[in-house]
Amino acid sequence: MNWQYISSILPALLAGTQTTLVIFFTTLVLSVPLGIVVSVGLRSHFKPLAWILKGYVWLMRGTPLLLQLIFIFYGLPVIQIYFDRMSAVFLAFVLNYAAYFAEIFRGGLQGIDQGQYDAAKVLKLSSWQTFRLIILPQVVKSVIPAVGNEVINLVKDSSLVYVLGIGDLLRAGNIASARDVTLVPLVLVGVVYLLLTALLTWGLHSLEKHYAYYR
Amino acid sequence: MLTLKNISKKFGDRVIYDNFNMSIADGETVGIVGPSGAGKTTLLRIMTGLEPADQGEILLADKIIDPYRNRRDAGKIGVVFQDFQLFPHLNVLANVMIGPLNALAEDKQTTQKSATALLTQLGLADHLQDYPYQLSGGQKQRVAIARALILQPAVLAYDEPTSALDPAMTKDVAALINQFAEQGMTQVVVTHDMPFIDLLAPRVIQVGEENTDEIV
Repeated sequence: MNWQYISSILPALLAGTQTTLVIFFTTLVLSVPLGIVVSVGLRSHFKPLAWILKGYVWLMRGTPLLLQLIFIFYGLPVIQIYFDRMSAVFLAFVLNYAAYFAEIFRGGLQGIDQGQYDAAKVLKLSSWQTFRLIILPQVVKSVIPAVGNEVINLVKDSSLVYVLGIGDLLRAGNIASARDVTLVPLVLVGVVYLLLTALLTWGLHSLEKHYAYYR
Repeated sequence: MLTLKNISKKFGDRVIYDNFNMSIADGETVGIVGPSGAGKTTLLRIMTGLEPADQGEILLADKIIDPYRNRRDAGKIGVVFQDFQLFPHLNVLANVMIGPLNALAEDKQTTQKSATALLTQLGLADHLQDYPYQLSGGQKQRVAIARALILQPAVLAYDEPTSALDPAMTKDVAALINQFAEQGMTQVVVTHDMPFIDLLAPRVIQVGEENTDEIV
């Protein structure tokens, strides 16, 4: 192992990691709340809204994220809709992941006993108070494992931005590997992904433990 | 006085109540009995606003209330659910405080004081910080009673209060209901457990296949 070589490519890999993390956190911060809102809408008694949202979820989950990225960045300009690279990435990732999170949260909402809503009603809680204080905390606990899987997928899916020419971790490693004709950068890229997912797995376990105070 | 006037309710083609009338005087404890599927719980759900009646009126102290549509009227008849429906993520104290704290916007200190007093009165002083899963059936039921009572309902309704309890606990809950009756609380007990009703000796309203009789 040539440490000098590793230290020479490290700044590029770290810069790529930074881009990967920006995509990861931005997507997570925006898509989880959007997913929660969509999950509530999916259960709406106002049928047209529920149908539109079902269509959105079907479209996002039924087509590859790679296609969605290409469609938004390379396809939409054909009809005069332009996005810069990062905006296209955020739009595709947030819309795609919100659809997955919406389905997960919808399942979580379905798992809540109707009696909990009844109990909240006779305690004079408003719909919003019922959702915020009674339903959501219980849903969050029940969906942590499923959300965790998606969060780990998101770290790896972030490498798809490579197709738009964005300098993420994978692209940084790939450029170095092609330029220097060595596997070392790609191995390092793999190690960084492993470290990131290990960190997330630990974080998710801690979150599960935090919610283990009740059954 | 709680009065149900000309209540009708259908589920699909099945008529559960057709112009049903009943009244409960202040301080009275009434047992609503009947076989499974007779509509006992439906009646409780209608009077507490958890289910709309197809027609008819609910009057409390001679004023029409609409607990199904009007949140102001919800909680005027407190409910102790069959399976208690405590909030599993909240401890005992928080379960009892959540109503006044959020729905009535009462201050935390006052609410905590009255919730603690109520729970102590019900023998739960040592369990304030416990979560529902750590409690026995009887303890859960008393938390559910405290949670309803803290809103000072005009009537307290129990849905099948013995169904989730072992026989030994049945006597305890009967004693508690009798104690509330002595204190002048207006109570409705929905049950199919006739030996339990014998322990309470309230006025009994029988609901069955023909819920059309006028019972006042």
